Amino acid sequence: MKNIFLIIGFTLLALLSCNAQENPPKIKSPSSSNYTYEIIVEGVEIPWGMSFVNKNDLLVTEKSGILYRFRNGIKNKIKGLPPVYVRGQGGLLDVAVSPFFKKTKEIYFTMSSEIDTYNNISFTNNSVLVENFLENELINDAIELIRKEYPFVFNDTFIDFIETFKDELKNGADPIEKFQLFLDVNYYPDIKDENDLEKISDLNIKIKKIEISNNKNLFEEEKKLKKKLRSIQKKYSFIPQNGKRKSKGGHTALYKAVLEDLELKDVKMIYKGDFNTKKGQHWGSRIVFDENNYLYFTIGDRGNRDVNPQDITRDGGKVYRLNLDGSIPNDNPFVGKDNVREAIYSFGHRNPQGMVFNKNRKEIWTNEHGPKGGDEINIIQPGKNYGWPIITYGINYSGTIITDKTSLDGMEQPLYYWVPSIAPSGMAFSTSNIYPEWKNSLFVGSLKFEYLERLEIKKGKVIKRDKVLESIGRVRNVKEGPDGYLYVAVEGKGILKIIPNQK
Amino acid sequence: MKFILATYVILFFTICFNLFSKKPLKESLVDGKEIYSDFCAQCHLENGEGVEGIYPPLAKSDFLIDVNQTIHSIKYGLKGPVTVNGEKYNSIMVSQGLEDEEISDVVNYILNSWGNSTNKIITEEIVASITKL
Repeated sequence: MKNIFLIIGFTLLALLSCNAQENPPKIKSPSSSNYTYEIIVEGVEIPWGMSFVNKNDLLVTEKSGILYRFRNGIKNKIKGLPPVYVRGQGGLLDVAVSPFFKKTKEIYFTMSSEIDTYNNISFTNNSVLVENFLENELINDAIELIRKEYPFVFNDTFIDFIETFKDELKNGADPIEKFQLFLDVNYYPDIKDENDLEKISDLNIKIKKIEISNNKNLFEEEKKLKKKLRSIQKKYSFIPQNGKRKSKGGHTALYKAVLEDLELKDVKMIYKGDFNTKKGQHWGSRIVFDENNYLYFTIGDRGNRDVNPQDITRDGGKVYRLNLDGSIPNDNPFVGKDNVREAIYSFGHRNPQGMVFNKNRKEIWTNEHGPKGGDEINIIQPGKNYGWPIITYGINYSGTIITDKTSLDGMEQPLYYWVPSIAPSGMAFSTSNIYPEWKNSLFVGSLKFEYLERLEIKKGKVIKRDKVLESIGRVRNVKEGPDGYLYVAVEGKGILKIIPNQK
Repeated sequence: MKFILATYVILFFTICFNLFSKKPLKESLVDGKEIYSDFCAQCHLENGEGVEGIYPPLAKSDFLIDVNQTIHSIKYGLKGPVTVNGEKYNSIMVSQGLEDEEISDVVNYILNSWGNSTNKIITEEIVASITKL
């Protein structure tokens, strides 16, 4: 009997020690180093994203909400950013210079945003419905204008809008102004109680009538009605503040803008995650282009792992693909399916904060944070499910089990997973000849262990892992510059350039 | 008689005000725990022990004796060298963008967890009164 307990005990011990063991290959600290580094940009507390305009012109985001342009050794702030919602892991995130920057001066950036986008189902591919309502050119123009300004609105709302304002639009009313008014007054996605809906619409109509009449004797009445309206609206998650609708919390938004010297112009939100939440975690986000000039970006699971990552009707826990103008490519994997977010390219992700286009294999590669253990490198393929949280190599921070499964049919396996977690952020290949020993290596920043990790990959397998820049600080990002050098963003330090020693 | 009545009424309202305006500690601790898991536990860990040399402990931490300093560092962030329980730390904690009420909840939770205890109750008003140094 004693023996049985001993056996059980040893088996448990063996299992536990397995769990704690590092997933091979074991990381090494090279005994001699063939490189030094130089800090090229200083005074950026948390350098989150960076993108080169050219080798002497670098854009850097600071998480707290500053976009810098570092040109010929001089660092300047760029004006004109939309409001950033700094909360938890959120803030101003990635930035990416358009592949056509020389011609268009366009840049893209992601940030946490409090802006309530109602329901971001694109109507780009549903315009057939809208076409029935097109009666003249003016309305057509209005639709185009709104399509640009509000690329993600609920299709039915849009049709209602045209119905409501048809005459006014024909008479030359400003469509954007009318549309905003329409959304503010009529569209309340959270309200399920029909009584409340009726009351709200009734009150709105009364208020509107008074506004139109401009009768001073009715102003007191108007105030009372507005108070009543507010008291009903307060029951719901969005409370109009300062006359503007506001939902609680935020989500990741992707913007496009024209960069004129030190100012952003023509700023447009081209995607916004829904639904806003006050959770502080997992906003993603990285932006990358492939060789066909599609734009990919990521959003993390927003702290709602049991709902978001596996549900393609909701945002979060996804890699997205868009055309450069923000429209959805026709061959995106979920185009045409009911209610889905058609911008989704792959799902089942936790929090991808590293992404790179692998030029050799023409693939999008990402890394993502696992829970305790189970950070992953994934090769992104259209429509595929990467398994979070149904399968994972990690466990809860508290040590409890999330799932006992590490693989399932229909779910993708990572190219590599880290146990223990390194907290990966940023991703780059060294493709130049500047570091001959590192050619084609993959580089990933470690926030947790404060080094840059170099991975050698052969035939789809990681065969070697090295620490580069040991104890440098929390490595947030890594990029290969147009000059072929590796640039590393370190929290508290700034942007470092890795320089090989002269032989 | 009038005077007594007036005093009585004032007293009654003061009690009512205190009873209903303040968030009960129990509720604050529950909310604080959630905020802690969301925003703090990643570095300071669920058990408040932190990571030696990198993230200072909150469990039985002498840094917490100065409550105002604690609130200030959550509200506005903390940068540079600090000594906690005799150990030196030199890192950055950025502001998490929490609302005043959320900060009061999480501070209450920290001050009453993992062997920490206090008779102070942090309110939203206290947090609001702490301005950037």
